[in-house]
Amino acid sequence: MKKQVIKALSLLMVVMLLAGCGGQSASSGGSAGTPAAGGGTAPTEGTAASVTVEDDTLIVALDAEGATFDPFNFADLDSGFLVRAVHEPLAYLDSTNPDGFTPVLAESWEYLDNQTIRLHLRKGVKFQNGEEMKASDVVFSIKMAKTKGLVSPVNWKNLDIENAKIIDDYTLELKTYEPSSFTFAWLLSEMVNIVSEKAYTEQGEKYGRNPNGGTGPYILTDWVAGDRVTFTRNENYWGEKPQYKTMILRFMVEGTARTFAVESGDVDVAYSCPTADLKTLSNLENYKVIPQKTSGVNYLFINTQDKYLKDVRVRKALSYALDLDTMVPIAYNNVGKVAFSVFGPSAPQQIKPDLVYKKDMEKAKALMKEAGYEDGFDLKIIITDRSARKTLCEMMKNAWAELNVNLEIEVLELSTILDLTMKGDYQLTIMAEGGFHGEAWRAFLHSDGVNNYSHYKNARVDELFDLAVKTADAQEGAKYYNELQNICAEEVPMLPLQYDEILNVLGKDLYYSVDPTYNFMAARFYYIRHK
Amino acid sequence: MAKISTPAIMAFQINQEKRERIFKKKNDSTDTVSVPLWLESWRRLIRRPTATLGMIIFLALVLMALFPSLIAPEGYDNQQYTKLFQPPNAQNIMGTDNLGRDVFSRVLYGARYSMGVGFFAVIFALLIGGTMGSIAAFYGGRADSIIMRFLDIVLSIPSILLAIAITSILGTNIVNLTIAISISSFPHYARIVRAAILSIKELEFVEAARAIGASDTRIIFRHLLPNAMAPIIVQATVGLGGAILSCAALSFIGLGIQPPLPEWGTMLSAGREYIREYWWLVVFPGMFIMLAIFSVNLFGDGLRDALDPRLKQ
Repeated sequence: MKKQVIKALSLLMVVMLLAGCGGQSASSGGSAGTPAAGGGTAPTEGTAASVTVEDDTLIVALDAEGATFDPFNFADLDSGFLVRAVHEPLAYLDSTNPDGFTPVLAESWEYLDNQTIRLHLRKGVKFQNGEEMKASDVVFSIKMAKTKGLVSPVNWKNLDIENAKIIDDYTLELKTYEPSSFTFAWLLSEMVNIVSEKAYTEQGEKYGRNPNGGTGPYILTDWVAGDRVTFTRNENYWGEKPQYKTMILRFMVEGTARTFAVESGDVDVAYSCPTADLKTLSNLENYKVIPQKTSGVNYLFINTQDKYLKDVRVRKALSYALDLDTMVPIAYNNVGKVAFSVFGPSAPQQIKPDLVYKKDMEKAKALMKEAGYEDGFDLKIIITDRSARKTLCEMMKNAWAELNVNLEIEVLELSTILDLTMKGDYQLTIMAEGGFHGEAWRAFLHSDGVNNYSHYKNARVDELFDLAVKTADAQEGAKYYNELQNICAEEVPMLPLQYDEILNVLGKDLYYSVDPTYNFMAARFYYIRHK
Repeated sequence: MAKISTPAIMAFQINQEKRERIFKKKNDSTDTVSVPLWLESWRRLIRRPTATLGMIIFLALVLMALFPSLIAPEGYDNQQYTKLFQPPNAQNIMGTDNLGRDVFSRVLYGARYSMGVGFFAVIFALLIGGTMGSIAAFYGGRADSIIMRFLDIVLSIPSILLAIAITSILGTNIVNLTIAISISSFPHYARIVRAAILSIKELEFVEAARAIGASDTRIIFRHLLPNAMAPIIVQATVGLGGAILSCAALSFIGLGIQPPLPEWGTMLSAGREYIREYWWLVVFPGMFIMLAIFSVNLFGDGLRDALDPRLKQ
């Protein structure tokens, strides 16, 4: 009797164990079936991973769920994915194009003087609510973007939207308060998505959940919070229609979940897969891995007002002690590039400064001695819970130990870190920042910069930013930005560590019909085509 | 103060008799040869193979935690960028991690943090909980109600959630982690101590102590607590496993011990990114977490049986 009970119990335990192991595949199989019910055939059949080919559905795995479709009310990249599926900007940044942009809703533009731009809008573009796009909608959208100012309020400041002139339904003129080479470039680089004034004002607060005022190629049909949003093709789209009738964005927060989804063939595209899975993903037969350049640069921000770190010799010594060529590939699993300039690769003004720090312990020790810190001191670095950053910090701790600098690592929430850095109540931190134009770094390096985490003050740097932004001559601008990058290399208010890349995975036969050089473009999944 | 109606000496004798009746009832051999309680429990403990096994593993881990440098072939933060992700081999028996550090050495040093935090968390919890429990039990009435209702409130918050909240408020370091774990677990100790003391506080030896003028503190700490030790020790042992696990769990989610210190949960957390390619980064720390808790639980179970007078053969 007792034996039988034991047997029965062991059997039960084995069954439970097996059930536990099988859970993963069972659940993912189940969720793969659900979208099939919505449109077309199931993306997977059996265990063989096969990407959707004939069916009309494109499934994309994203790393986070956005909060809203409201183009003027979001500050996170994740909402950007949602907004950009339905709305379009005036133009895209495009490094392959001679003047740096690809026209979208603005067909062309010309500069009347260094303070005025005239935009010619595309004719016959219909919003999803059936209205035709007019110059008044564009002015309304720019006005909204400026008032909300969610993306970098400083850059909007110079735009004189009150004096915008509507010449006819398809032509308008915009002015700036002061001459600037940057404001219009900023305006054209996807910073404003155009909505129908009627649709947006009618819906008010509700627009974020029911976005019917965009011109984009997809229309929102369903939003299951925490799981997915579903789009249907906009049959009245003005441009080349997307190939897929249905597009589904699935939210998979855990990185490995996205890798698993790719491996089991549940998705066609996965955005930002874990770099540690590079090898696994590269070995998949039906997918290709695309290391996607981003505008992000990982920096070591140094509080230049700190007791020890205010001494430029100390900052240089710390930089010389780091062997970034070894450390960065280890920390980021060979994804991304070792940084050399304070400007990111997405800024056209980026140069290689005269001084790029290479490991030189002798020099580092000499500088520390000169500064009077031969015996070292204690430093603390605050970082968010990201494995690459933790690994970097562990390596820094080891490297700086040779200078007798003892590094303490503290992991904190991003909001706490932002709070401490803005107050200047910190010594070191690692954060990713970036931009599409030299002017974007004003925020970090200008003494009045809104994100001057380093609390860096240099009159010449301030002056250079002002000179560069006021000149219309790109050559002259470049000269100022070159000097600026060289000063930052010498004074290290922030040490660039890595030019970030993310790993996007695409089905083998899929491709973007445009050049998705930077992350905003890659986020417009409607450009994905099947060969 | 209770009324003193019996001479103290008499009460003390009665107390002794009662004690014998409670702890050694129906025992014929101890009438002549008196064996101390601890020795007898010890004998009963080592007669159980599972408990002995648990104890041996546990002692081995404690030795690891105390003297890691004697066994570990390398330091815990000895980064060697030329040998990253080496699988287990003769030189590095548990392989190396993403910075070329010897996983075996890190696991050994990790015992110090994981078990140390667990140990001190239990001590603190016992101190806070024990004091509150004995005050509640000894004074009864309103003190009891207030303390126990307070503990009920604390108990109604999931302990891991409470620990997370405390570490996020205090900041993440070893001391705060220990405090967080002990605060989240002390009500259990308070309850055990209260129950144990309630069961003996009406006995005559307490009355006797009172009769000879012992203060409340003395009665609680010299008379009541030593006699209520058995269930407390058992709870502490079992609680140690829970505390080690909480420490690892909090470190895993980044709220505990910070890198590069090699706490087991931190190692698991750092290694999970590489789990698909380099299994040894998570398997070994995970195995040691399991071993520690398994041994503590076996030992705790054995101890409970050994200290339980009803199970005496």
